Amino acid sequence: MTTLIEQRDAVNKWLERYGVRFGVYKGGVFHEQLFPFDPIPRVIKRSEWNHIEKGLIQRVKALNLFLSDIYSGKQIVADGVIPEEFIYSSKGYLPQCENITPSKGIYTHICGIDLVQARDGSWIILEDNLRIPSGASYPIIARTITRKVSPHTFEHNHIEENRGYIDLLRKTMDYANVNGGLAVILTPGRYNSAFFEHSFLAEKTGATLVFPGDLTVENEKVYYNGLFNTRQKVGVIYRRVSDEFLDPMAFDKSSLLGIPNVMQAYAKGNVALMNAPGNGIADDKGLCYFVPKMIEYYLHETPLLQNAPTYLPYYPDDRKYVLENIRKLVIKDVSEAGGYGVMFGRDMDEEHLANIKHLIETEPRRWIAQEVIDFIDLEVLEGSGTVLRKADLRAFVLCADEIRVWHSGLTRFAREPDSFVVNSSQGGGFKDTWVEKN
Amino acid sequence: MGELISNTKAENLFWLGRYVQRVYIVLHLLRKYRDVMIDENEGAYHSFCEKLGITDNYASSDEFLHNYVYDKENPDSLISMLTYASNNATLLREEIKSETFSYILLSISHIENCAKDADIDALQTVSDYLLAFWGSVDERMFKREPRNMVKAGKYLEDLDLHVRFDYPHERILYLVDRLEKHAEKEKVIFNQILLYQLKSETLQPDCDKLKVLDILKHLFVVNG
Repeated sequence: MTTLIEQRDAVNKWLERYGVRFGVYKGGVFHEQLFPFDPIPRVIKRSEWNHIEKGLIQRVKALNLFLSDIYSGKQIVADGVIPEEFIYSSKGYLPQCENITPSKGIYTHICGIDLVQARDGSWIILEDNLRIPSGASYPIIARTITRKVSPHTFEHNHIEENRGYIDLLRKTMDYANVNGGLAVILTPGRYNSAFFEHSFLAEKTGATLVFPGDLTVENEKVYYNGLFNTRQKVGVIYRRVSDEFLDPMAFDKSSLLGIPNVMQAYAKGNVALMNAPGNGIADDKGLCYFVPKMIEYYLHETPLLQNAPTYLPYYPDDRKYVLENIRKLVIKDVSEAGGYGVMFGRDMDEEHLANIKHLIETEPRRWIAQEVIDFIDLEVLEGSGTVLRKADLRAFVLCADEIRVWHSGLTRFAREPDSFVVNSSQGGGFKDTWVEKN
Repeated sequence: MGELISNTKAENLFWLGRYVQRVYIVLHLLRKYRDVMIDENEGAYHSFCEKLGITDNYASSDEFLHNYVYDKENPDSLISMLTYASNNATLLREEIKSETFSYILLSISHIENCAKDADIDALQTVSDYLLAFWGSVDERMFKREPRNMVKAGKYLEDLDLHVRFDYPHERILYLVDRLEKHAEKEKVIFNQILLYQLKSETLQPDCDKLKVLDILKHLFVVNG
């Protein structure tokens, strides 16, 4: 491990050499920057991992059943487990997806589940990302580089290989593929914050990276347009474009990033979309509260992983508690993502608190509140020493013929002391995640 | 990997080839002009700008050597051309592969890290990286069409610069022959009539330089 830490500069040179970057918008201007990498990995013991793995598989299985139910019979609503209002008022619920069954019944092909480890060692779910979760490419590259610059470190630490993600992803794409057609990764373009990842995954999986305008739909089939009017049928689209921009004929009419009429082809079963449109209903922050109930309802099992203690101001008792205890809670706007719309009661002045309280009272469905989890700090190199910083873990779960959890993950850490915000868009860094071998 | 290639990617590949080769040849020319400017003709850079068709607003050879290489605000500068190459390569990672792309990023990084008063000699490393780039194109780009497109840009740029800088006729003939052989591999991306005209024109020892440059401008047919 010491050797690896000594090689920090060498690692950073390799990251620069390969252009490992992510994009951020500051003041409306696009910048690309290196994603700060910390060479001290997060190490997860095998016994702990086995528990996490089982819990994640259970969770994703239930979420997939929920999506299948919610876009058809809505039995979970009829049975009173989830209030109707939570479905229809969610921005993630798309009526255009009603009664569409995706290829092989899979909605949640690639899930990014965010967890933290509390001081008592338990792992707690912060949120589920079932739309277009990003970040898997960084630990893969970090592992490749660290093995290169410090091979001895890996002779003595017996950890799971993480570069198998590429095969896992490709198999997931091939399994979803409806007709053996071309497998493509649809990117919104180079000014998307995750563009590096889109191009990297295309390179490694051998999928074709396509841009808006490269795909067209004819007779409810999707084609990739080549030179001189040649074209090739597309069987699966791993789309990194948000639902609302995916098809201007079905969603946002002003979208230039989508494929007109792709929803028609999808509804006919002529192309697979990864992940399925409409998944936003299942990763709505308000719905996260109900995931343990979904596990009990659909699987008749006890949830293996717990959510952070969450309150829904929608319920009068919870609202009363939140308003009375707002200073010790973290308040989240359910419509925001990427670390935006997250407010800690303890950091707000009186005026701000009064505003938020008013909004909670007038728009209770828009907010959730959670107890602040005192999650463990991880060591991060700073200068010649180490400091302690808050960190989370984004675990990746992929669904094909079976549900598999990638034996690694993206560990993100806050750069500032006392900060709980780890998102790369907010300046956070990343670590590799080592899972002990069996 | 898909069998087809989109119009946009074809253009990106072509321009990637052109920009990389432009930097490579220009570095070679800069070393030659630098040599002349030491004690023979301090104002030789005026002729360099004229032949290349770029704005000549440099007050001295020192200013030229510095700004033309390092100034990111100057759209004609070497660093700008490498940035254009990088902008195209960014969109093509899965076609050209990360290793190939890395030689452009290393070139940019090297220029950015060069001392402000560094002489042209310090840029030999960039020439080496660019040769490695072309080696990587041959080694790693196993799909024929994209490889041929990036090389179409290379050969076309090579010929363009050799004509502009009045290289010997036999050298021009060699480059035309190379371009023609390359066009045989990927006929559809070259305008065959213009290719024929190019060959006829360059066969003349006193060929019309402007006409040749104009033909080259329109030779690649997916070039919008």
